[in-house]
Amino acid sequence: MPPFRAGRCFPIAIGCIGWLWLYNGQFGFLSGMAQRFGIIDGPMEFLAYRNSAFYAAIVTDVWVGTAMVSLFFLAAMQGVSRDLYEAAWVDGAGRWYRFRRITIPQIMPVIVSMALLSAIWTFNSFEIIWIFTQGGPRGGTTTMIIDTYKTAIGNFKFGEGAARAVVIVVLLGVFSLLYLQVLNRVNKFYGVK
Amino acid sequence: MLMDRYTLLQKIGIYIGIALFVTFILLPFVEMFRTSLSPMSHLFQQPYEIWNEEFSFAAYSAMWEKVPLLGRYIWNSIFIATTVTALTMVFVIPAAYAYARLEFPFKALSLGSFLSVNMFTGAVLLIPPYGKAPIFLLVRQIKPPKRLDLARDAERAKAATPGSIVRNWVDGKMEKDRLEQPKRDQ
Repeated sequence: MPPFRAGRCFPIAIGCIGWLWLYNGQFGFLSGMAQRFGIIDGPMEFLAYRNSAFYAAIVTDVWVGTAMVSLFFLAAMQGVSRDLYEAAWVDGAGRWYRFRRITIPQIMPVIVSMALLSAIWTFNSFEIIWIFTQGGPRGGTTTMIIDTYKTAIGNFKFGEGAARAVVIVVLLGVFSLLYLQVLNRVNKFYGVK
Repeated sequence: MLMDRYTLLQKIGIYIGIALFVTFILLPFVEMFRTSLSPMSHLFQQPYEIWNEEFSFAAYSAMWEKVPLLGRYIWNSIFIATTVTALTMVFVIPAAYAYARLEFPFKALSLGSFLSVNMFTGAVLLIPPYGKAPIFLLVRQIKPPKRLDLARDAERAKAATPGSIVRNWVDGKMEKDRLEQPKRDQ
């Protein structure tokens, strides 16, 4: 089983707890290894500072997304006919040229869909930040979705929370429309219908 | 195949890339496995130890003893996963065929509505039922937040003061009487 498939077998919340453990300053792997190799002097709490907590959440979000997106790309690339590569190779096309002129155009619909979905999923990503910092320290990692949840579920202000949720949908809707407009042009450039 | 030949340098580059990717993907999994093997005392120990002689599979046998319904939980997970997958396929395959092969009005618009489902995260979807239904009946574990109301707390403390003075006095008096009782009996 390829490793990214194993990654997908891991529930997101459990994976986040695994990362939480890795980021732990006192007993975590990253801090422990960094101290052992002399990179840092004492324990480093990655989730206690605004910047490091933010980057830690980004790394984990990439980890969560990598498995899913890799699977889709793998399926798409496996669907590209080998004949096309062989024909191009016989014509003297190099590896980079084949990648640019065969692989990319053939998997362009998947790239479009996955990029859009990945952007939407990440915008709405909740579990990671909630498990790591609950939006802290001092709001450093609070995203729109965390604020919505805190307002609606945490403070029982359902109306205000729902208003935020609608704003999120409008924002994502506008983003999706703009994105699809740009991608129509890209698709035309690559000759993808 | 001739087309797929790589130079040694390219192969080294590919394997370094794969190693980095695999490490990134599997690191939390490996750490979780390592944690499952280590005794509780080792988890909160410094300096960090990758491996220790006391590591064992005890947690794996203990979970079967401590959670009697573990088998049931595993079965529930399998059942939900299988049922949801089967039902999803029943709906998705004809729908995908229709969108891929058939022409019908509002095709693009309705396909776009699928995307809008993704724009709501699960956390936000909790809001409508909570807003409309009596939330405490639905989800009993959720408790109302403790709001800081100093005026109310001060009023309560003030109201409770005379009562507590009297209670303390009565308690003290009774305790004193109780201690003195044996002396009087003698």
